[in-house]
Amino acid sequence: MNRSPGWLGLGVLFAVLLVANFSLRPLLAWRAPVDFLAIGVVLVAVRVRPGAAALIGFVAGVIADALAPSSFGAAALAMTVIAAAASYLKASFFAEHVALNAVFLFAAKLGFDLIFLLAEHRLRGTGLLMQLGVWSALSAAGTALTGLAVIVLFRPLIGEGDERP
Amino acid sequence: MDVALFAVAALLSAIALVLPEARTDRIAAGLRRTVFAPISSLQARAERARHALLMHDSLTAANDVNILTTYDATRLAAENDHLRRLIGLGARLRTGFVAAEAIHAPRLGEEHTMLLDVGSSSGVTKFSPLIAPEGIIGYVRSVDVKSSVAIVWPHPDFRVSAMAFGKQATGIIAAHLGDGATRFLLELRGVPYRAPLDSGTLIVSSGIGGTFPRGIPVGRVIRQLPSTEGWVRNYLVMPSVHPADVGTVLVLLPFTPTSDLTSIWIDADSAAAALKRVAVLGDSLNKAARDSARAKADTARVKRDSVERASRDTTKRQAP
Repeated sequence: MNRSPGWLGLGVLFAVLLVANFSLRPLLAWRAPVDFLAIGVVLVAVRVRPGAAALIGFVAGVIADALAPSSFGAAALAMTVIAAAASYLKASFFAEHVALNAVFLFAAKLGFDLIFLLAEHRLRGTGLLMQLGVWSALSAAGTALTGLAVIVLFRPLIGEGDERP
Repeated sequence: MDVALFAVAALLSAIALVLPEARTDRIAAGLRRTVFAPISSLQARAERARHALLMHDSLTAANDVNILTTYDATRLAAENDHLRRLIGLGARLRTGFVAAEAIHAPRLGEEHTMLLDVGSSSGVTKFSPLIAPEGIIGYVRSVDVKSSVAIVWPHPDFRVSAMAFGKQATGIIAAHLGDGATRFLLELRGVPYRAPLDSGTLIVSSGIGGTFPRGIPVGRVIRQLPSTEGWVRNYLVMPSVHPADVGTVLVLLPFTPTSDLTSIWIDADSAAAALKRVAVLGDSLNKAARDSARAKADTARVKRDSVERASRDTTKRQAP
């Protein structure tokens, strides 16, 4: 059994990112915000099996839905899909590489926004395209850069590479 | 197994999406109240912090407005006080004056002048004295029909014949042309050598020359100035009134009924001083009465102690 020494650190980092998502994000209130929760979920998801990743994503999504209940379930669904996909894709394609992690986070955030916006049915037509093409893309870029910084800074804390059992 | 877990999570999310809004609101509220309460609280605090940051500028602006309003209120209170005293002075003068608004808008090179909104149509003439409740300010230099220009005491041309109140010392008051803050003081020049003045002596207009009636306060002596002439003394005088603080003045007209206004200021001051003296006297009497009562009590106690001591000594001597 391959027990990773990074689980405790990963748990702490996830908690920190969760707190940042619900404190720093509303404080900054950017039009294209950094999604700390998505970073945390992806960081954990790539280190666990897809089923566990889906559950973690679901719980994180429920937290997001409970605190912004405009469309309860949309964030849960989006986060479930993103977490499971991250876990599958990490196992299938990606090697441990810093730049690839950034791309991974960018795609995860953009995918999350796409699923979320489609599930909540609030935006349509050009509004939806504008949101996805501009603001979600900017938010995904910010999330990717922040995630990259987190990975580089906390690498000793969270351990190396794919550590799933 | 992974697929099953994913399917369950996705199914639960989909169910949550299709649930009626009222029900999802209740579920979300329940979650915020219980398991997610700390996170909810954190988010609320962050929102409040952001609101506070956004409000900072507007709150600062509002605070500045309040400070300015307060400052304005203080200025208005001072102006109101000045006007009350001016009305009091007008009531004591009864007649022979006209109230004027003083506009401090001197041009370059014409400092120490003020524009008055009264002129010859109101009876103002050249050399009409300007007074405030505190004393002399200046005199009219030129007159138009509806306005006039006055020079105030810091002006180099300003002169007034003055005397020490209650003493046989006369002289000429002029602006002290010193440096720095002393520029805004006055000089009493040409006081006879035989009549030295103490610091604090009140200087009033003497009435000599006819421009200023007698008895208007000019200022108080600060100290003697060094003099090159050996037979006269010069004094530095603190002016009674600062022209910059004055917005409304009284212009004495040529037909002022009396040429001695000593009673207008000095009697009023004397009445206030008398009231103060009465109050002080009352306090002194009360204190004397208290001291007397205390002295009587002390005497009685001493007598009682002496009797008791004598009685004890007698008893001791009689004992075997």
